[in-house]
Amino acid sequence: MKCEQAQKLISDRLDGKLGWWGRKRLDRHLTACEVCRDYVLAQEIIQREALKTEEVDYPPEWWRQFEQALQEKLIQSAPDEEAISVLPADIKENKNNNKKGRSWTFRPHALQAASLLVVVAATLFLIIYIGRSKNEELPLPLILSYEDSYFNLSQLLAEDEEAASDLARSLEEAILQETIFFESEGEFLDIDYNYETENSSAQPEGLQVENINFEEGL
Amino acid sequence: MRKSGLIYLVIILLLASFSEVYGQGHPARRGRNVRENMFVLRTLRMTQALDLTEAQTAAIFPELNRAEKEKAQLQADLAREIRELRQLINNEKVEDREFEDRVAKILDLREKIKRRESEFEKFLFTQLTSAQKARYIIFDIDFNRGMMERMGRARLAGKENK
Repeated sequence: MKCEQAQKLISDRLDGKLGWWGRKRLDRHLTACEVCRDYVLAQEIIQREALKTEEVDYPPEWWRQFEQALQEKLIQSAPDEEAISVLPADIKENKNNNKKGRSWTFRPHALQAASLLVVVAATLFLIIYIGRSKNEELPLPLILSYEDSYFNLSQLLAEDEEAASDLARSLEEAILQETIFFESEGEFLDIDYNYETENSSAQPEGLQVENINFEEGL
Repeated sequence: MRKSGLIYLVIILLLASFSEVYGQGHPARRGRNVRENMFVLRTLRMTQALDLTEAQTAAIFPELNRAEKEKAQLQADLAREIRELRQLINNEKVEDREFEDRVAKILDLREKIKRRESEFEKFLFTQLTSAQKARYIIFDIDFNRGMMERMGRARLAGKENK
């Protein structure tokens, strides 16, 4: 028997857990090994002294702190992931948190609040994003030139005679309104030219919109 | 004569000359078309937006007039080509070469329109101050958007009436 094995058996004997066969083997080793005999003596002294110690009634809080301190010691003593793997789950978590330099504790209320916050933020993001997307649905005129815009418009109007007529009319009205606006501001007085809406014969020919050749686009 | 009066007089004279130009491209119509009205409105608004001086007006409007005549003709040609292409697509007997020719024509017309527009804008920018150039950019975007919106309203009204 090797000394290492013998020392384990010595420890078991001190705890009263060693069987008959183990005792026989240990005795045989001790008769031949002086080192292990000294080890037995030392262990017996320690056990004796330990049993002399009075029992102390610490409060539960103290034990929690003790347990935490113990866990931290274990974590610090575990040099790598392999060492962590043998630790209990809560200690492993603690170890990982310590790596980040923070100590996390599980708080259900905080978790609920955080979840709620995430949901609210996601909802707000979607609302803003969708709203913005809707606004961006009409980027075409912003990137197209006047002629490109006109071309697109003309292709649409070529398919819709009524819309073309309405658009022409609306443009005509806009021209009249803007001309009248400037006339009312006294900035159009020197022009001997009058846009009259009721008397079509007085309108310049350019503002008549009838008989548009839709086949040509506009 | 006040500044605005001169500007409007020039616009009206220009527009009077357009009747013949547009008439050539569209023999069937008597009045001006949407393009003309758009041009009138755009010219009016551009004059206001850029607050052009008399000297600027005198320099810009003739070129604006020429560019519009050319572009209107090119747009009419392009619309015709596209209309014919639509018809050709539905015809099974058309050869590839015919398609190639049509496509080449359309691309060429598009390019010409783009080039002419760009030429005018380059010229315009030589006549404008920095602030006016900035205003023109914004005006152009706003006007185009306004036209598309106006168009949307016209189509919507048409649908509702049906």
